[in-house]
Amino acid sequence: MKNRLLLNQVMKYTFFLLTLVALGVLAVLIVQVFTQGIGWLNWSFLTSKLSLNPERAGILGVIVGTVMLMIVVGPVTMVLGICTAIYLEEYAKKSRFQSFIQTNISNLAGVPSVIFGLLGLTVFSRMFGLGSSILAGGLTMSLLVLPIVVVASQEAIRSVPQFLREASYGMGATKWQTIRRIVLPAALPGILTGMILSLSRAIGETAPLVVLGIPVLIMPIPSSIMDDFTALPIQIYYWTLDAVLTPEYANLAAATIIVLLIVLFVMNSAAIFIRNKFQKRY
Amino acid sequence: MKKLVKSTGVVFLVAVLMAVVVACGGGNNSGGNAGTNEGAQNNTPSTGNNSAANSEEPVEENLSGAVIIDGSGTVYPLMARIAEEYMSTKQSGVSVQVGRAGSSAGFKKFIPGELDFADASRPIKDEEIEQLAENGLTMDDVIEIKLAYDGLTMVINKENDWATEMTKDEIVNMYLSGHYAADDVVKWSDIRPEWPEEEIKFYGPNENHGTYEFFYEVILEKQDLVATANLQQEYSTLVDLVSKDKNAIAFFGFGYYVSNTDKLTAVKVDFGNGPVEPSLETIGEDLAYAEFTRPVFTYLNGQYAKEKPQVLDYAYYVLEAAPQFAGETGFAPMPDAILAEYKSQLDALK
Amino acid sequence: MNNNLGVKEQIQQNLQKRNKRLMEKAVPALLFTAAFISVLTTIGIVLTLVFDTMQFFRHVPFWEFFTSTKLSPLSREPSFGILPLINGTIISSLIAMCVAIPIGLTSAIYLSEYASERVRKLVKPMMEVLAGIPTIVYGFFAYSFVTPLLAYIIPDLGAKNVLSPGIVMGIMIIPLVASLSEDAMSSVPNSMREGALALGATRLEVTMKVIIPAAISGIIASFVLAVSRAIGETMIVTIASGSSKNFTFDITESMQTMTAYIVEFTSGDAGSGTVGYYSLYAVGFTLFVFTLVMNLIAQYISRKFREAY
Repeated sequence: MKNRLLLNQVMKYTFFLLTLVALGVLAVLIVQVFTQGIGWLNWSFLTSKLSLNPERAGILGVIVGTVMLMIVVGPVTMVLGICTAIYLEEYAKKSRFQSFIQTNISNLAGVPSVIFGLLGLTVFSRMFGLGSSILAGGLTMSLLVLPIVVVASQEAIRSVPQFLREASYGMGATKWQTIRRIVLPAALPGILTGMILSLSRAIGETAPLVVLGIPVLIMPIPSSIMDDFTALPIQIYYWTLDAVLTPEYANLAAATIIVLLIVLFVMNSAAIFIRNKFQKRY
Repeated sequence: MKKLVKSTGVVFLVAVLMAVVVACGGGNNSGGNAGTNEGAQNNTPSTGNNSAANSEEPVEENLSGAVIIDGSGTVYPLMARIAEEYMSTKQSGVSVQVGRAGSSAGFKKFIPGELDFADASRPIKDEEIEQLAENGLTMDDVIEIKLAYDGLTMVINKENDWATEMTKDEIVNMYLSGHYAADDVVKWSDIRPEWPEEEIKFYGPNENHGTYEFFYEVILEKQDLVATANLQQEYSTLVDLVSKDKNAIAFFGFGYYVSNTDKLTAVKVDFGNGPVEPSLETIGEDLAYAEFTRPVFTYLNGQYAKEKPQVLDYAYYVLEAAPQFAGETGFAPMPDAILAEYKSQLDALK
Repeated sequence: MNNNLGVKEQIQQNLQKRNKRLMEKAVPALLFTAAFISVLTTIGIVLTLVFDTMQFFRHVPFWEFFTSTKLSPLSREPSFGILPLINGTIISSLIAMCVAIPIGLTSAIYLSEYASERVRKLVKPMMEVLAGIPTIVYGFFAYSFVTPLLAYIIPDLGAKNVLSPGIVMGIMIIPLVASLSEDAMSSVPNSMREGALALGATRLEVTMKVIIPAAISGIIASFVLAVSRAIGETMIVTIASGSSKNFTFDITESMQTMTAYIVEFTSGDAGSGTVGYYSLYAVGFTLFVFTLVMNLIAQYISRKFREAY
């Protein structure tokens, strides 16, 4: 009898400790990155162009590249994602087509990102001749994160109470009017949260961009979506690779990681903030 | 307080996005290496109908557009250095992009017209010239520029205190497939009995790289490499692997050794007149390390140089800057007479 | 004149009505088009992979590709055996599973069965943070921190090895296993817990004898998804495991996974038309099939599990 209770207590703490392992690693990772990078993270690092010389190198062009990539990914995924979600939730409910697309989307979510890179390389880079421009990278990324937006938007639309729709129909509104004026505004917080999460996934994705063949050294600041570019994760990758040749690059990589993590933190905080603020409206 | 921080974060993000959207208004499209073989792009080499060639020296004007360079990883440090200097001191409006996929990979992109320059650590091959012709470019349209001299360097781990000097024959034999062992597991003691009885780990750049081809064709005289050799795409990986493995040996361009003298030892090679250490004093066509010395190249697409002023301007700058930056990136500079001849070739393009 | 105005207004009203009707007809079509893009994406992926894979098998016999242990895509007599890559992929995923399954599952048990609401509120967001860190950051961490650390313990560890990225990949996957398993356990009806507790069982016995058996399919599904994620992981193995194409089982050595092969090849030689270029797609296709099968299995298991309650 005693033994059973003791075992229970022992296991309880074992489980707890093992749960802490993952969080401990997280702490170590963050401490390590900060100790390596924080000394290199200053105003001139954020506002100068890339350079081979670690003392002079900065990531302004990299940040601009990432932001412009998001300018492509954002609208494309927003339009495609929301439209797909509306169609599935409001127009194609419980049809065979709906379950087909649903399965398709959940399978797309499980396709390795490097495969999306191959798709982008074949279709956008070569077939459409977009090379390794921001547009090619952005379209590739959009397809990659589309499932996230669709699923989040579907959940948001589904959580809009039925009586609101019925009230709208009762006032003589058509289906589309109801969706546009009632359902979408009510589902907006959830959709926005999904959007932000998908963008934060896109900001951190490296593999598809590497496969698209982003050149190693790009100094000019990109000015249009047809320009070649480099983005935060790509730069981290190249600097990590080349740290063997120039040790200071490891610090630059760490400093860039800090920037990336801060951006992600801000975005996710925004998502959580929106989620909490609008959670219980009905 | 927390809420305040969060909401300012959001506002800040939105502001940044807006600012960039506004800034993106007037983007100039520099259609550079939109590369397809089937040509869905506007920069396929077209003979004849080029726009009025700019006859004045393009020093005064502000150029724009892109210069696309890819190819040898050996040449990359030098070319990237030149590109950076050009962009920061000469033409800040021009975007010079330097890749390092490897010499063969560079030519594969150069042939269908995806590149302005192809860096190479070996001369262009006949079959590559044939493929160029199929794409409508003869060698008259392509300018071969020898940038500098590179010494192929054999590197070993810092802890390796026995193999610091080897004869050329020993190096060749150890890398030859089947010379010491049928299964290509070679021990240091196979080469000299007094050396440790431990397996040698062979490393080198993979077949994408001109360095590999130079080693295979010139040094091994086209005999097979040991099957146990571990060939890598990235030079940084090679440096890393050798610096952490006592029994490793690798070969690559001198430049990658120079930036890692703290991690690696260069093998002094005896070509018959005593051991020679590769250095800027010994690397050259008629210096002591000549047998392992080779020129490194960049190939310029002359059609693009005629059509795009920024490409021609950059080509001039390369000739001017290559000897200047060769030393600091681990190359021995080309004699001035050779560079002067290239300059006259460029003049003829105008 | 007045009449005229009336007519005009009527015309306008009619137009508006017609526009409304048009809208109602056009909107579903537009939405359908958007929804179809996702299908097109899948078709695009399959087509690009299949097309060039077929080109590849024109040059290399199917049999050789899947049974040869020699992979040297660039040499003069290139040989294409995918086994070294499959081997590297499986070994790195296995190492990841050895880390992710025990820790992920115990975290799930703790959060679902033991933790107070306060602890749960604290730990779960942290798990989300762990899940949200980009893989490139893990890659940097594996290469610049975990590998040197392991080298202290294992002296003859290679600078590039499969052990370090495997472990880090496992850490990365913990949140996935933990959250999915926890969902499965939390959805076990409370009445079962209470019944067992009322009979005098300890929390541990309840977990082991009631909850886990009841949630087993959801838990297994989470493992399968985790494997799929590990197989598809790219940057960590690319950075920290190097690109040796040797067929070996020594985890202190460098190995290449299918994903890393794709990255290496595209960063080196994306000039189309060579057998090596087509091999990229053959490897990609194999990878795609691997992960797809895993995902389908996971979906199948969890669908069965949904029918349970």
